[in-house]
Amino acid sequence: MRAPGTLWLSVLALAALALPSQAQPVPRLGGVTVLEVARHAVIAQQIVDYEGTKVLSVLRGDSMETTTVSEAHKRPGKSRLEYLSPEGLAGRVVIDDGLTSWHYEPRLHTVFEGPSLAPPSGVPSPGLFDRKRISLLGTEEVIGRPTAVLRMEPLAGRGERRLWVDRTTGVTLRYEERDPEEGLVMTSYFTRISFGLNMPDALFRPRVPAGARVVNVGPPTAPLLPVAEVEKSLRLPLPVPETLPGGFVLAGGRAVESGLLRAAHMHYRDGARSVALFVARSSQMGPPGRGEPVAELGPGARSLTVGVMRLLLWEDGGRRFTLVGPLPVADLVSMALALSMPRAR
Amino acid sequence: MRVPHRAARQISAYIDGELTPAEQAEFRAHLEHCASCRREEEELRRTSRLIRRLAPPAVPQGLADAIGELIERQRVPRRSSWPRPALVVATAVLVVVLVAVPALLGHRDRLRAAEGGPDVFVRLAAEAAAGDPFMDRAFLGLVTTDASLRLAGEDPRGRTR
Repeated sequence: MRAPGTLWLSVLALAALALPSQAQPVPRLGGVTVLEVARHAVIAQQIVDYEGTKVLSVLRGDSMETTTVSEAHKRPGKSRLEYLSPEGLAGRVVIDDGLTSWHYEPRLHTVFEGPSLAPPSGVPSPGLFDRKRISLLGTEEVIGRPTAVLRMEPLAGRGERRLWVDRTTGVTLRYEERDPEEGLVMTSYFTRISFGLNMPDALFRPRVPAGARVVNVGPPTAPLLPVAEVEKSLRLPLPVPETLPGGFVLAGGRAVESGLLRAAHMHYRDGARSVALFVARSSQMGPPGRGEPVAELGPGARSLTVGVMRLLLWEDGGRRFTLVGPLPVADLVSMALALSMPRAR
Repeated sequence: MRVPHRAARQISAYIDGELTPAEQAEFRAHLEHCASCRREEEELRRTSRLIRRLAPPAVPQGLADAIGELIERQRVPRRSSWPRPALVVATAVLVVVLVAVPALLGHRDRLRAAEGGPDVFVRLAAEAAAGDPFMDRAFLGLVTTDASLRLAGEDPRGRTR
């Protein structure tokens, strides 16, 4: 492992490469700006190895589910997650080599192979901190290590996330997401962590257990494209606005396929959270057979909760729309009403 | 002037009285001078007399019925104004193959998409969230693996669905 002082210099040098041109007043922590701490948190994943045990609590429907997971990370983009509890999750392993992820489910003796879930590599993009307000709430200790506590809020939206960033390594030791209506919707924290263990590559290489079934769950995630290109690819008019209520801005879209279903996947971000909008031809996708009716969006419209995600499905002009995001249903409904209004793009 | 020899079929027509009066007179004049044609005419008359004397041959019993049956069997049936059953079945099968099967398959795929689409979309939305560098990776892993299990028709926590 590198000496902490050397690490800080490396981090600050990398962070300086991507500093935004516009200056904004930010509080400092020992001579380091809040943006530099945030960049440190992003870059740490590319330069620090660690292994630890994390406790994760997630709001699923009306209750919180607490999970224990063993998390190992090897720079720049390899990771290994082994879920330890609750019982229904125990033994689930997810290995990601930066290109592909493998999920082994012991009770099904099945490996699910899909695209990597590793964060983007390289210098943080200049727009990473656009449309969000980042503030420094102070310092706290997490498992005996000093951290800088960051709060991130979308400028035009609601909700917030907090990060406890290890002052030595930049690794986020604790993480929270809050919703103004639902309160704490997700939290995670390390109960122990070790750095620079020189973990072998084999730990991050998937080994399909003998006799296990391998299921491919999808191709690599395609890059985001302008709406016009997605329309052309699918031959499907996409009357999608540039912005949605709550400060969500269109980042781009892509054509996605699953079996015979072809749909447009439009990606909106508010600076902290993201919402996905899927548009398919009604002739290819029928009305949902589950969920709660949503009267504002007409007959057949439904809202669903799938794990931590909320979904809103409705039909308009021969197209089936689905909004997916970790937001309250009321927020998704206001977005859907904005989408259904006549507009000219 | 000599009348030319006649063909056997003209002699036969003369005997049977089938020539015109002028032809009859002309042929008679020819016979007076032509011994060959007279011999021929005499020969034909004798044969004709012999044939007339013969009893008509008896028709074998049952021949008429057998022939009638054979004709009936080989007769091409008349087309009915109604299509034959085989044609109706073939047409129905064709309609099913060309219209009903695609319609039913399309309906089935539409229902499948309605059932599985939300799980596909949740997984894709989670994959897209991976682009957020601040997102907790253990949380992301949980969301995507749960979505994969739902896509496979399994409850993410192993409960009976």
